[in-house]
Amino acid sequence: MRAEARRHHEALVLLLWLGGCASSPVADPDIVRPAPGAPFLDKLPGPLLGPFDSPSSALLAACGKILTKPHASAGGRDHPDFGVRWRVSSEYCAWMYYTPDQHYVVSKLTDQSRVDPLQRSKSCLLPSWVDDPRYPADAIRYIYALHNHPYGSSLTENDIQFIVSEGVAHGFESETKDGRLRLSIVAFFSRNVSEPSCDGFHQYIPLTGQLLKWTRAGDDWRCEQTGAVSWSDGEERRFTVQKASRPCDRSRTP
Amino acid sequence: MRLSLLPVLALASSCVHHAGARSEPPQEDLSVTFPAALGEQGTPLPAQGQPAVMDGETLRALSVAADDFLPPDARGRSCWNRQESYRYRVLREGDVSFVGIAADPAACGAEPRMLDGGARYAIGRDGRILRRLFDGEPDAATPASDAGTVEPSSDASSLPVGDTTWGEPVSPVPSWWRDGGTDAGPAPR
Repeated sequence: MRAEARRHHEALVLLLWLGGCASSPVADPDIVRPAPGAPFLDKLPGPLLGPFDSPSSALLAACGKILTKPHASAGGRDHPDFGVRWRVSSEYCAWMYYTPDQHYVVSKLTDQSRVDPLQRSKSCLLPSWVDDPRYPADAIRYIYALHNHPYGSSLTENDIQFIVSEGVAHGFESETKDGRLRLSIVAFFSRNVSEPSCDGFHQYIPLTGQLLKWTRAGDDWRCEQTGAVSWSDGEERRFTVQKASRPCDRSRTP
Repeated sequence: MRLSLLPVLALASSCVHHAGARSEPPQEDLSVTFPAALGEQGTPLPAQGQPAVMDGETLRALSVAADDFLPPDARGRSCWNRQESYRYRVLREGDVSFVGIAADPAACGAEPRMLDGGARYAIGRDGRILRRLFDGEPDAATPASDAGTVEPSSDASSLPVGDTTWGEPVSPVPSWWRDGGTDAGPAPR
């Protein structure tokens, strides 16, 4: 009886969350998607945010933008409605890139994903290329692959494989006015569902093998190295993760 | 007044992208925990020309997991909706077969690559799904650890947020990382 009541409650909450269907097809100029029945987008238009003078300011602007998109955060799992929040949650993805005129720019977002009939699986299909009509395609330097994790969980095997494949395609580091920046992937999270904010992100930098977790406490940001990734040399593209827990420190490199 | 669940669910499911007609999975067995070893590299199949042997129970576990992950009515719409676009790891512990599913990075060359979207399964000897866990979903059988809900204990970082310039490069870099531009092909027009 209690289980049935809970299912009723979840169904009602699901309806409320979905806004009676009103939220799904609303066009958001920040988000691009393929037309119904069309193939996935193979490039993302830019710019959405920028120009910025530093990679950090572009990263934080992107974090705030992505996490305030509908259902980007599912909140804590102890909440009675977490099951519904997870099912309706969405991942958004984008690129932060460096332009020939020495600025950092964030592309538009997409939420195109693998079809899952029950909405259990969360994914985002991030095109390899940004199309910023102001610059030739090969003049854009790819710095951060951006997305959100609705529950704030760690980077996944697919995330790690993704960024290494992109590194093979675009290069694992780029010369910028701020030095040689390494390609990395980040997954943003918010602790608050009702008023989402940029509370942290997980990061993997292939060229150093570092797995990092950045968290915000007020105005301060803290960084912890949570692990290191090592790859086999074979063509089968396999890796292992060695877990760690230590502060990020220039003087204590892995 | 008793609320009828059916029309509510029907309306709700009609609002969800790609909603299907399949039923909710039964309650999970939280006494089953996923072994960390399921995420390790694993042993690849032997080289071409060498046979590999698989017992029927393992085959069924793989089949049940793969069909739940990508049911027939969800297949074929894109490369990422084909079972052959994924890599499958299987690990046996007692009466349970654990199956890990992740995108095959070499499978869908022309399509955008996938962030997240993998899953893990625990399959019983009778072929029942004991547990399923999708990428990013909290594991109900373990305490919360990586959700960012725990306040950090370390001091504020002196590094710029997201800085990538401070670590030592891995050495040696895997040789296949230097292929240079072969994975993405030319920029699409």
